[in-house]
Amino acid sequence: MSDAEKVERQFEEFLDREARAYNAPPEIVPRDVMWTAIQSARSTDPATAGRGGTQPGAAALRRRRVLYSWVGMAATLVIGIAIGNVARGRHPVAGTLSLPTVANDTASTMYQVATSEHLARAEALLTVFGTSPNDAALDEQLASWARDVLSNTRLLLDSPAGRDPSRRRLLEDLERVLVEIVQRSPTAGAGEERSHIERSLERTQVLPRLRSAQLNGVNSGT
Amino acid sequence: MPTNRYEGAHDDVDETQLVAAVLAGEARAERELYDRHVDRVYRLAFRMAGDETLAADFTQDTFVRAFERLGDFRGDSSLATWLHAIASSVILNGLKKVKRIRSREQTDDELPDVAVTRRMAEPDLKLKLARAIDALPNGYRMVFVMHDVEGYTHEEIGSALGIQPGTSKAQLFRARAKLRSELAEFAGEWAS
Repeated sequence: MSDAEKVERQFEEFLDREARAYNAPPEIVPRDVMWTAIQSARSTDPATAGRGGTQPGAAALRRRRVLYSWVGMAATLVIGIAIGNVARGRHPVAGTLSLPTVANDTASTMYQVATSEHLARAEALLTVFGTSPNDAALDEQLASWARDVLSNTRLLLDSPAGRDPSRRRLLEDLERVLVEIVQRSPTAGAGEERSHIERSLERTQVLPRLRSAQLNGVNSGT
Repeated sequence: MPTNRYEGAHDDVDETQLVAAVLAGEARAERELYDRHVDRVYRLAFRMAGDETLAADFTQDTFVRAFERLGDFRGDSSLATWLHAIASSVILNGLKKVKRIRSREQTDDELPDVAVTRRMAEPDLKLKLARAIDALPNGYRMVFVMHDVEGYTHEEIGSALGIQPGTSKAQLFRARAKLRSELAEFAGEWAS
């Protein structure tokens, strides 16, 4: 056997040993959660709910668009916060990239982009919440969505984006409403809890403030 | 080579009845079809996406589309093969969109190359291998993952991806060659 063949063989043995560890999936497949989402996507989209059709699942595509937006959003937030930390001379958060050459104005722009995208998504969530019917499957999806928005709201609050007083007030009010949506029980007293959240929205005027903040630029929280 | 985990693809008789029951509108049959195939679809999606949320989304989309198009299933191939063809398309198209969105938000000017940065920071050879697999073009990566990681045969891969088995073999060869080249400087480690 030539040296080249020997190296080739050793590499294949290495791959045989190690390749199966690549992106190893979890032991337990979240069957029920995915099934609920599939059923919900099919039932909420009458145009594609019939069997044997050939149109791509519009509901699934909508869900995917939202998800992809979130992937981008999360990336923007993490990068923005990493940039901010570096710009302030702190170590970046674990798992993020180190960007030692990025200037402060770039960091500021990144925060503005991240905040602007976040406010738009928060507005979308609250609009959907306000217009959706009482439905357990949908409520579950909304809670999951709200959980994501809540995480990013807290990230922003802890970042320089949360320093502006009016924006901070807006983010804090948004945080409280999101906590209520996340903690809402989908079964017991669903209607009552929804009314309570709607009253919170009315009292804090979070939705119009979100719209106003986007219209006026992210520096405005009122 | 790993064992073939594509079993369950040849329950032809039951499968025909199951498809008929789903088309007749039996809810339990829908769930049965889903339960039979979801694990393999999810595994493949997870291997390719490396992310629970994306894997779940790709899997859900696969089944939403499969139920929509089940009336088009003629039984020329097994249902598993047919489902994997949908899954492969959903996964590859989904990854393209994710890449497009990420690249739009993280331009090259703003970020150093992610793979290079990580590689320098990770001393472990397994992680270097993982990063090298990540860097493969998605078409090659899909063939590599299906064959070397999940144990599909070239015939199964060919059916799922709509390519000849010989093309699958060629793509696997190129994928391995790229990995070997990428990890060449660590030959002393992987050869030991």
